[in-house]
Amino acid sequence: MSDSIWERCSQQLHGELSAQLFNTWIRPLSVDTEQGAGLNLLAPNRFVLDWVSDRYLRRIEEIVAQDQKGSALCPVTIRVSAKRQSASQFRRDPATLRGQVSQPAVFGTHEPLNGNESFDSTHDLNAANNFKSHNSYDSNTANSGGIKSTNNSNDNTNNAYDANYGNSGYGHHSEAPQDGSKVFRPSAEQLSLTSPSDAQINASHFTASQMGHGHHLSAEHYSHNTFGGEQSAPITTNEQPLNNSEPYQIPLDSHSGHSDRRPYEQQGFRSDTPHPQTVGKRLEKQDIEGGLAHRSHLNTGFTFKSFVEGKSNQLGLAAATQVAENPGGSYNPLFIYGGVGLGKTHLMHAVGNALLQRKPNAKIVYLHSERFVADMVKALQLNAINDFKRYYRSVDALLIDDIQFFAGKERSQEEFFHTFNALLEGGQQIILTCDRYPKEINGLEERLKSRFGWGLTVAIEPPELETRVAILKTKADQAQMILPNDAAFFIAQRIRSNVRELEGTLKRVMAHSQFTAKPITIDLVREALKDLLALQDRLVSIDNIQRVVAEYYKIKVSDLHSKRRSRSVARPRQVAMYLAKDLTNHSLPEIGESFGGRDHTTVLHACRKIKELLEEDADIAEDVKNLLRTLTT
Amino acid sequence: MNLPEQLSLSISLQDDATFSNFWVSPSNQIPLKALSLFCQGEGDLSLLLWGFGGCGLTHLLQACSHQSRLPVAYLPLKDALDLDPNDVCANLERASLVCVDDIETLAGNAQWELAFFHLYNRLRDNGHRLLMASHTNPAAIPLALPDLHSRLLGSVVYRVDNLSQEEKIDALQMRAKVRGIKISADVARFIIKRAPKRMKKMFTILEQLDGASLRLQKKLSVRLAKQILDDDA
Repeated sequence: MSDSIWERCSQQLHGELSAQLFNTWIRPLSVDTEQGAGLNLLAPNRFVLDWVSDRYLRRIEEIVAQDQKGSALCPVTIRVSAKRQSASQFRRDPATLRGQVSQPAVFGTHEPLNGNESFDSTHDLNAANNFKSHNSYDSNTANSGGIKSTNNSNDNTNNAYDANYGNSGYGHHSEAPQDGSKVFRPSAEQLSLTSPSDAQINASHFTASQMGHGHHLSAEHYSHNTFGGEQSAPITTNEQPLNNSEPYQIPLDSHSGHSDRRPYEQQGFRSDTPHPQTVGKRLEKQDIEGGLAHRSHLNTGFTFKSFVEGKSNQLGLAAATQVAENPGGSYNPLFIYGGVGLGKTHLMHAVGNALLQRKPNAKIVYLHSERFVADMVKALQLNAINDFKRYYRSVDALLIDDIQFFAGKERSQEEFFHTFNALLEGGQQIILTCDRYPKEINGLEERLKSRFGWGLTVAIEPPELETRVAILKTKADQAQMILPNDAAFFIAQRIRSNVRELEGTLKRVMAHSQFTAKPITIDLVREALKDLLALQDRLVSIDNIQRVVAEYYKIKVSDLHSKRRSRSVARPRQVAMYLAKDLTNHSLPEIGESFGGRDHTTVLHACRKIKELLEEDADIAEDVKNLLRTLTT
Repeated sequence: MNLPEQLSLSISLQDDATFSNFWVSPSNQIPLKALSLFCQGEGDLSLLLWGFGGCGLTHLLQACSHQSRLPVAYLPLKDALDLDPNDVCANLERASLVCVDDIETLAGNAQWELAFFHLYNRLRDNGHRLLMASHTNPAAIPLALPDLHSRLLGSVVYRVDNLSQEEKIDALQMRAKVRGIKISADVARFIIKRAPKRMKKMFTILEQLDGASLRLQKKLSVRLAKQILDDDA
């Protein structure tokens, strides 16, 4: 019953809140059906819990009270669910769980090790070929961009992938479940059975998954995965292409789980025995690490200090700060999403920099998702996938930008999935950015989507005027330039889309001021941004605003000028007035004049009304957002 | 290390595309100053110059390529669009400076937009520089990938103006001077009339006239110029 109450309640909230607020706060909530009377909600973590309790709980109570009108009182409670403890389901017998807490090393010593050995012996065969193949790959790609390269030895390729890996011994994992998301879905029942407190859950989760997790998952999909799917173009330009047209089995080592993180000695190899793996490593070092060398570099300019807080991003900032203070804790992964140029990458780096400050030798790896894909393809070619895995699983924090570019890249998703699990289990922090809410990424596996929501998902929205001004002032300060308020407002009014463009524009203005040795004034800004403003002015004249608004609401421009006061016309008229005030420099009387000779108080009222509705009415908010986008490109 | 040392495709740099023979009109002082600082490794990592055809963007990009002592790549997109973007962009980020011409042609080519977007990111991650030239206002390039568009507009953007008629005369005279000859304003006007829109054509004619007058051992006058060009036709 509480399920249906919640369904109605969240539907109601869906209408009341903006999509982003709803996605961030309401969508992650679930109903705990095991509890007694009333509506008992579960929040994925304390952060969401606090926020919801603070801002939405009262409203939820109101809605529920309304919903239950006439029937008995229905109290609403909310507490933290133990979602991430879901891996506890891997254990076959829940009762054994606690016993295993103190035996974390059970895993490496039995079955999977056999897999290791068989894999490594085949790897040995490959080691010699490795070198040649990676060499030729490298020189070819360097050339393909039309750049002369000095290294051009290209006489060997490696066609022996499938032969070497066909029987690398992971077939025995056929027991692995096909539907990962199902397996991982948390069950409130089990959680409440085995996990009285947060801390305890975390501990048990950790070991339970170390037990059986890795090799269960690793078997999925591999047999039908082919290499060709994601091969990047440089490889196909190879004069003697790698044998990629043949579907070949991915060289998956059966210890692909977290056991990778353990040194070989622990896995049963003595360190004084020359091991094929180390040979392999030396061979590909230059190539793999050539790729790695530049990738872990955080942008030192992207810190919390240089991040300008505003209403639109305070949530993201708060979440990132939390993560920086408690990495690998309950906000793992931190998933930051929002439109382009709003500071997602900045926040991500800020966490990384903060972590480094606290622990200077921490291994913080930042990379763009494309890099992850490219490195993986390369690693597969060089038979260095183990090094790839080991590298990514050895980090203290992994920061991947623009995760939406994983869409459609199944092999990368597969690989990332395992990396993700390993890191989460190891308590290493993951931070991801994306241009949209996880569930809305097309072409991304469900199990990844659901995992992305395990930690904390926060949205960054476009900055409102005040924040844009604050950003400009701060950045000018940092550059030791004087930016008067009116000039800052002028720029902020014109550049509304995102922070990146705002900063680009400011750089241009500051350079203009420096080159001409003149202080920044509105006139100088006009001069510096001549071409940009000319383009905008064509878009944001009152005439054009009226045209665009009328078209959007499917009414006539003349309706906006008319005396008609029916809602279907009056609301669009108010929106158009609001936009005219917001986007142009016309005065209230001038705007009133352009709308059928109306009084300036009418315009003022319209502006106030729309401002109010922006907070309360999701539809109007959406309309204004769309119109702004049309009008300001 | 496979450092890209030279550019490629079928395109080569024109030897005479340098800063020293680029005449800078008063309205282009600031973009040129910005470009010169950019080439010295100052300021932001990406710079975007835009202007309409004939304003000299290609010349400027090639001049930067010439001048740079670090590994540089010059990529005229117009000529590269038929190639596989991943091939062309692969490892370009290893160059310290990548000069990309005609970026407006990216619009509508999803593969190229994406590849260029990734190249932009890789260059950033490597701390390497990107110089872009567009022949339309970058704010109006109809790119399908918002991530890329915002990166273009997040670069420092300068408009390079086309030269006025009078400025073209100055530019021609300056170009002649660099070649070691002196031409009158009348001769310059005559040349401009013969190549009304195309700056490049203008300079080609100047070269042609210079060569002929040298062979004929005669000073370059309007009459001689007319004679040479008519003979040639």
